[in-house]
Order: sequence, then C-alpha cells, then structure tokens
Amino acid sequence: MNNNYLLYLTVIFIFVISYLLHLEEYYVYVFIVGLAVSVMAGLRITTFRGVSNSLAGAGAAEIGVATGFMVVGKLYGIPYFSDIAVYLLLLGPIGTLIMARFLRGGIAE
Amino acid sequence: MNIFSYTEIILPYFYLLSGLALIAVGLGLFRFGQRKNIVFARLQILGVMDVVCMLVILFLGNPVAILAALAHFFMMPFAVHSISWADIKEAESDV
Repeated sequence: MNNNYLLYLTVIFIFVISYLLHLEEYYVYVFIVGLAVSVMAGLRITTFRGVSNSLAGAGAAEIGVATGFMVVGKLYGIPYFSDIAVYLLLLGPIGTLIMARFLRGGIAE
Repeated sequence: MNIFSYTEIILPYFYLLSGLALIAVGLGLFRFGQRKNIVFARLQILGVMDVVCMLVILFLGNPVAILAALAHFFMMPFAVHSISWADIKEAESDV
C-alpha cells in the first residue's frame, strides 16, 4: 500500500528485461530456486518445538519435493519421477490427517 | 489445439511468478520465531504454497499427476484443519 513500489518496480523490471532478452527457457530455474528456499524453510519449521509445527513443516517440504520431482522429470525427460510425485501427493495429506487425529485423541476413544 | 497448448505458452511466465511467490513463502516461514498462535499463520502460508505448487502440476499436463494434485487439493484442507484442532487441544491440555 505505501512502501511496496520498489517491489512492483523490481518485478516489472525483471519482466521487461527478460522479455527483451528472450530468457523464457531459464524461468524454470527461478522456480527451482524458489522450491529449494521453501523446502529448506519447511525443514527448519520441522525442527521447532511442538508437534503441530513439525506437521506443518513436513507438509510444506512434501508438496515442494513433489513439485520439484514433476518439474525436473519434465525438464530432463525422466518418466518415473512423476510416479514418485504421485505417491508423495496422495499419501502426504493422509499421513498428516492420521497423525493429527492421533494427537487430538480421536482414535483412542 | 487443446488447452495444454495454451498452457505451454504461459508456463514460463507462470514459472517466474510462482518462483518469486515461493521465495516469498520461504522468507515468510524463515522470518518469525516462536510467538503466540504462530502455527495458524504457518498453516496459512502452507496453503498458499499448496495452491501454487498444485497449479504448476496442473499446467505440466500429466493426467495421473493432475488427478493426484486434485486429490491433494481436496484432502489438504482437512489435514490442515486437523493440525490446527490438534494444536488447540494441545494448548488446552497444557493449561
């Protein structure tokens, strides 16, 4: 609202420069760097105190790793990476659900 | 000419935007230490990251991965609400 003009100008500058230089095929590396940063942040959250922090960080790391497998498998043409990504995508939330339900004592009753 | 030919055109720009968004997500997760009710803020940031990564998987065009991403999209709110419920129960049992 007040101090974000520098951010907007930076994003517009990046877009214009990379459109003029035809850098579209290198944008995927920006995405991979962002995935690496967010996965490292999720793993740091996992080490904090409290089980809820650990579950949230593990969820962030899981979806980041699954997307990284999809993107890298498409980038280098490796077909079985999508199977690993599908496994992570399907079984990550189920494990989180079951562990959180154990934590609040729902199954033991 | 199906929809994936359109998504391949806008996929690089979406990579750039979502990469910047994921860097912002990482900085937001790194920034805050321990304080009251920080778990809910972390779960909200996790929801943003979920939607961004799921949209990238939708744009890549693998049908099985699209189905898995949709299943993840419908299951993740239940998991996140279950985590927050467990956090509230844990805080009550500590007191």
